[in-house]
Amino acid sequence: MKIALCSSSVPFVQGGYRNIVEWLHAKIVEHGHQVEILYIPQDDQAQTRVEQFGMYRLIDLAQSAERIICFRPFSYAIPHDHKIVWFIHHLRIFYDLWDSSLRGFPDDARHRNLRDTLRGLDTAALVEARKIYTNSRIIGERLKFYNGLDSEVLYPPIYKPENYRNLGQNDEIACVCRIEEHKRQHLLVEAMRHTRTPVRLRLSGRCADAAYGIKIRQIITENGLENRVSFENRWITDQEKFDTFANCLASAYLPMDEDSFGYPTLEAAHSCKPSLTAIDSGGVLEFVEDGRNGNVCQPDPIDLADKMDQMYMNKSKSKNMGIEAREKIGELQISWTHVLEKLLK
Amino acid sequence: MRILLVKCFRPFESTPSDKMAFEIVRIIQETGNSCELVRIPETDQENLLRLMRTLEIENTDWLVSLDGPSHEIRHRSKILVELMPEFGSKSIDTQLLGQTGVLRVFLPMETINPANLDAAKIVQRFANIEELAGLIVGAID
Repeated sequence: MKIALCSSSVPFVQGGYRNIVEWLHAKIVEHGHQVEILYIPQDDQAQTRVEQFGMYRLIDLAQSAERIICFRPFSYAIPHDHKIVWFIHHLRIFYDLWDSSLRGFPDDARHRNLRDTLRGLDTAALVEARKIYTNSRIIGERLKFYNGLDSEVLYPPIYKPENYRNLGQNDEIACVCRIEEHKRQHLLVEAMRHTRTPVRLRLSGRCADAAYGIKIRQIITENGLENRVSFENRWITDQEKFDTFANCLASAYLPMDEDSFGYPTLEAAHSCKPSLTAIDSGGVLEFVEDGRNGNVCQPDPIDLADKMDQMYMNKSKSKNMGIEAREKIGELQISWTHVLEKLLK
Repeated sequence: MRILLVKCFRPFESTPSDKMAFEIVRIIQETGNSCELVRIPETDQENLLRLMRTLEIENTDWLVSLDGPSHEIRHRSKILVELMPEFGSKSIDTQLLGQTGVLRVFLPMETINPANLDAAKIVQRFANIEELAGLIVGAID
């Protein structure tokens, strides 16, 4: 079968939104199908959104692809008789973040009209799909609430889970993801000021916003945490990542209101390591259950420090929570077998 | 530098020009610059041009368009690359257009017929591409 995987992209910005496409590509090819990836560059300017939506309607894959699988907005606007949508997020400033400081333009009649137009276009394009899957329950709930559409949760696996293993427990809480303000690595560093045990923190990931990297570095140096906090401001290699998760005490991942459980949570679980997250981390809470396979705390340094200390002091419990995290993968049917069964049926 | 290459393509068909584009990406990356390729599926000419004119490219220092339709994309720093059969025996020629930041590069290359393609020709063609990639990077530097 000829299958086109369609999504939008921001040039030179990597991350989970590309992983889901590229890993699926590799897995479908392994199953003997022909696959093309189609990324359409898209920018963040509100005033061009409708035109950009219309651009996807001009793309014609009807003759070349037997099936298309669409991911990020507005790729699902591409017309096709056999369109499957694996919906990973809305353009949230036009949806649940409309009333937040992230909107970036006034709440006036013109922009409300734009918002309502985009919501209508989204709904119209999405109803064309034969099936809509979402990458988390929370995304499915938003689709139902804002677009009135039913969907099914299909959690995205990581590419080669067999590369993740458990080689024991050192003293480190590892946070492996992009270094960004909304991922809140600064809270973890601030928490290290309040810990009472020799627990350590490792931050690994590329920092797109230099100012945030400087802020992290400042918190480390101003509080004399250089010996207990490792800050690697770069993409670590896959092997380094496998080794980090294999040896760490636990993973920390506390994004603000995340759309999904987040790959770091899953990577840790495949290494039988628990995760530390926050009560406002969104989709992460679909995976992490407080006290069972990780710890869920308030997004403040003192509570975080307390949980980090607990993970350090009770390594036996941390180990058991890691085993439970591995179990949870199966409970949620997070596997490529399951994904391919759904997307290719 | 972040250099974005754009070209049209026919889905599920691997053409020499596709291979050429991937090779340019590799060569430019080896110069230490960031380079990505965006491929836009071919459709009827009118829609394709509308699509290209609607594209909004951000987070990119230089846009390198590798065919006629992609020349239509708006960007403040754009390099137009054209495959010009009539320049076949000459070295790469360049022409600065009136528009600021636009450099037109003519790549010497015969019309490609995949059926007649052999490995030796690909190697020869890639030698030209290295020259082209060097020229692109040189123009940017």
